Amino acid sequence: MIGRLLRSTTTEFLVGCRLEDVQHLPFGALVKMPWWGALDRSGMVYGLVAWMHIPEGSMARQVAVQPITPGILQDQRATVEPVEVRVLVVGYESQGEISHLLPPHPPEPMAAMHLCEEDEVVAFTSAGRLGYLRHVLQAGGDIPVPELLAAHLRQARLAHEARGQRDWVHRAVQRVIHLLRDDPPRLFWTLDALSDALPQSFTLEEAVP
Amino acid sequence: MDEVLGYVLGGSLQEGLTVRLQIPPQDIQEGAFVVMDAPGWRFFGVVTDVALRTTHPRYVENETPDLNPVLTRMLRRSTLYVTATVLPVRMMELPPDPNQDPEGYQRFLDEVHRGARDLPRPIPVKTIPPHFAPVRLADQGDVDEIFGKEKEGKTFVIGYTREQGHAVRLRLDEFIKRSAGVFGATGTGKSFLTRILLAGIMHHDVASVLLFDMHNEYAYDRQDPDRGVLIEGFKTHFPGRVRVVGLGPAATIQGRAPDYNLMIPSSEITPEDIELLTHELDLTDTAPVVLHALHQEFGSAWFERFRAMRPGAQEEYEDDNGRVRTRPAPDSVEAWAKEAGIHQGSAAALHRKLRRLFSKEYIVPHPPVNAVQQIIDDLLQGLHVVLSFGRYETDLDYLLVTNILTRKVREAWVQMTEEHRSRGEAGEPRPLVVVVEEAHKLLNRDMAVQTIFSTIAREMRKYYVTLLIVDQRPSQIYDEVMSQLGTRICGWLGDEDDIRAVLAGLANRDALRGMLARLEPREEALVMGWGVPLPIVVRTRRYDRRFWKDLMGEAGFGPGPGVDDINEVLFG
Repeated sequence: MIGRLLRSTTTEFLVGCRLEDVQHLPFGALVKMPWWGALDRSGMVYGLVAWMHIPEGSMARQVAVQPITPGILQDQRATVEPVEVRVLVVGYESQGEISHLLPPHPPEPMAAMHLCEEDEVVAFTSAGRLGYLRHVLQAGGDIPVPELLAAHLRQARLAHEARGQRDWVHRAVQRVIHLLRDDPPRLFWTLDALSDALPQSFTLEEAVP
Repeated sequence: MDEVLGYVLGGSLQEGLTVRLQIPPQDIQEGAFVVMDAPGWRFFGVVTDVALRTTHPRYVENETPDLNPVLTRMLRRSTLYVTATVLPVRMMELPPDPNQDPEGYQRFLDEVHRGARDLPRPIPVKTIPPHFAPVRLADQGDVDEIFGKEKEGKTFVIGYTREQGHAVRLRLDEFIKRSAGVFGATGTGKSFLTRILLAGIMHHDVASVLLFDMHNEYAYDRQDPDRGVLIEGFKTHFPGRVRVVGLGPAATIQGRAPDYNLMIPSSEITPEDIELLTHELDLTDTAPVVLHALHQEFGSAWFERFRAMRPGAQEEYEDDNGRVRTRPAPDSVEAWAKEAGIHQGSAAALHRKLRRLFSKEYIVPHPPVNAVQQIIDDLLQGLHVVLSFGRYETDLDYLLVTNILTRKVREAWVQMTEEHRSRGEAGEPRPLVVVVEEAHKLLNRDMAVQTIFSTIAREMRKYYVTLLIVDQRPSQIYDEVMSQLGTRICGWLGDEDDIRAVLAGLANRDALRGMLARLEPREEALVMGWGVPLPIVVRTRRYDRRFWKDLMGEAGFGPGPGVDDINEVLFG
C-alpha cells in the first residue's frame, strides 16, 4: 500500500501519500486501486501517476533561511501534510479481464493504492489494442501530457523488453502517431519527448506490424 | 497476381477514382491496367496519374532533424502516402460465387442456358466501384476478357502489358472494320508496328491488303541500316499470297523483278487528279479552267491530246497583202487555247508545268496489260498487293498513283457492294485494307477534301474498304479524317500538336495525353480509340525472326500455306 484515495472522478483520482513513500512512486508509473461497486471487490482501476504535489511544511518558511540540521529535516518530514498524487485513470480490470475503457465507477474513498509490478504493467499495457493511450493523450488541465507519455513508455518498454517483447514500444509509438496525426503541432511535441525517452540504440529492426 | 495494390478512396466517373496505394510509387506506372471488384460487378480501369500525398501539409513542410530516426521513419510511414488516379473504362457483371451462393450460381447458369440472359461481357462503364473496393493489377484473364481471347475469333497479339507482360490482343476482324492509324515520331518503330499488324491481317486472312510502298521496304527482305539485321519482307513469308507490283516499265525492287509492273493508262487521269497536284506542280489559279476545257473537248483522251500539243509552235503564212507572218501552228497549245476561248498564256503555262507528268514512263496511252484491273482482281481473290514505287520516289508520283489506283479499286468495291446489296447475293465483298504511308501527304487539310482517301475514311465500312494510315506527323492530317479512325496505335510523339491531333475526338484526352507524352521512345505504344475497349500502353512485339516463328505457329484461324505457296517455294 502506497497511499489512500482522497477524492475521485471518472477520469482522475487524488491520493494522499506519505512523503517517504513518494520515492517508490515515479512519475508515469502504473498504479491500481480496487474500484467501488465491484461486487466481488476484485475489480481494479488502473491509472498513471500524472502529477504530484508536496505541500509546504508547517515551519518551512521559518527554517528555509536558516542553516539546516538533520534534526530540522526530520521534523519537517514528520510534520508535513500527505503528498497529493493525481492519478490519471487509464482502464480497469473486472473478473480478470482488462479493459482500456474508463471504469463504471470511480474507486471507493480511502481505497488503498498499490504500485503495479512489472508483470502487471506488461499485462495491462499489452491487453487489447493500446486503447489506454487515448486517455493519456486526452488528459487535460496542467498534466504535462508529452512528458507523462514519455515517462510511461520508458518504464513500460523496459518491462516489455525484459520479457523479450521488443516490438511493443513500436506499436505504442505507432498508436500515438495514429491518434495525433491530425494535430501536427502536438504530435511533433510528443515525438520530441519520446525521442528523449528512447535510447540512441533504438532501431527499427522489429518492424511495426 | 492477386496482390491488392490499394483501395478506392473516392473520385467520380468523370474525373477518375482516387486509389490509396499500399505499394511504393515506383511499383506502378501510368497506363497500368487495373481491376476493381465490387459486389456483383468488376470494373476495369487505367492508371492515369500517381501522386504523393500527406495527411497534413505540415508533415512535409517541417523537417524533424532532432527526432530519433526511427520515430521519423514511423511518422513518415503513417502520414505520407501515395495515391493513383484510375480512370474506370469498362465494367462487367459477375456471376454469383459458386462457393458462396451455389443456388444463385446454378440459377445464373440455367438462365444462360435457356437464353434468358447473355453471358456477361465488359460494357462501357456507367457507374463506379464503392469506397474501399480493392484494386489489383489486371492478370492475363482480365486482359483477355477485355481485348480478346486466343481462341475467340481472329485475335492477334500486338504487344504486352508494361508491368507484367501479359499478352494484349487485337480483334483483327473488328480492327479492319474501321479505318485505323499508326503514328509515332521517326525512329519509334512505327513501320515495324505496321509490319506486325499487316502480318497479322495476312496470316489470319481477315482482309486483302493494298500497300503503297513508297520506299520499297515491305515486299522483299532487306538489311536494316540502323540495326544491321535482316528485315524480312512479306513476299518471303507469304510467297503465294502477296503480289509485288512495281511502278513503271522494267522496275526492279531490291534488285528483284516484281510479279508484274503497273503502267497507268493516261485515259484514267482526270482533271481532278491533276488539281490534286496543284502544290507539287506549282499550278496557278487558272489551271482548273484549262483542265476542264481540255476534258470537255477531248474527254478521257485529254491527257494524250494535251501531251501531243506543241507549245509555242508557229507556222508561217501569207496575209492578204502577201506579207509573210507567223501564227500559232494548228497543233500548238496556243491554237487550241484560242479555239477553246482560253487564255493562251494560262494554257501554255499548264502545259509547261505538266511536262513533269508527260515525261513519266509509267503513264502510257495503252499499257500492254491492264495492271490496274490485275491489281483489283488479285485483291478480290484474297491476295495482297504491295505496290513498290521503285525509282519513282517523289511525292508527285506517290500522290498521283495512290489516288488513281485507290479510286479505281474503290469503284470496283462500291460496285460489288451495290450488287451484293441489291441482289442480296451471298457473296459479300472481301474486306480491303488500303495502307497509306506518309499519309499526311494525301490527307492534309488542303488535300483531304479532294482525295479519295478522305471519302474512304468517312464511309467507314460501308463498302468494305478501310484505311490503315501510317504517319509521323498526325497534326498535318485533316482532323475530320483523324476523328474517323477507330483504332489509333501511337508510339512516342514529341510535338504537342501531334499529340493533340492523335487524341482528337477521344474521351479523357487529358489522361491519355500524359500517357502519350511519357511513352518510351522505342517499342512502346498506346493503343486507343473507340475501336478498342480500353486505352492501354503496350510493349510492342518485336519484328524479327522469332515474331514470324511465333506467328506461323500461332493457333490461328488463317490458312496454312496454300498450294500456291508450296508451288512458289518449290518451283519459284
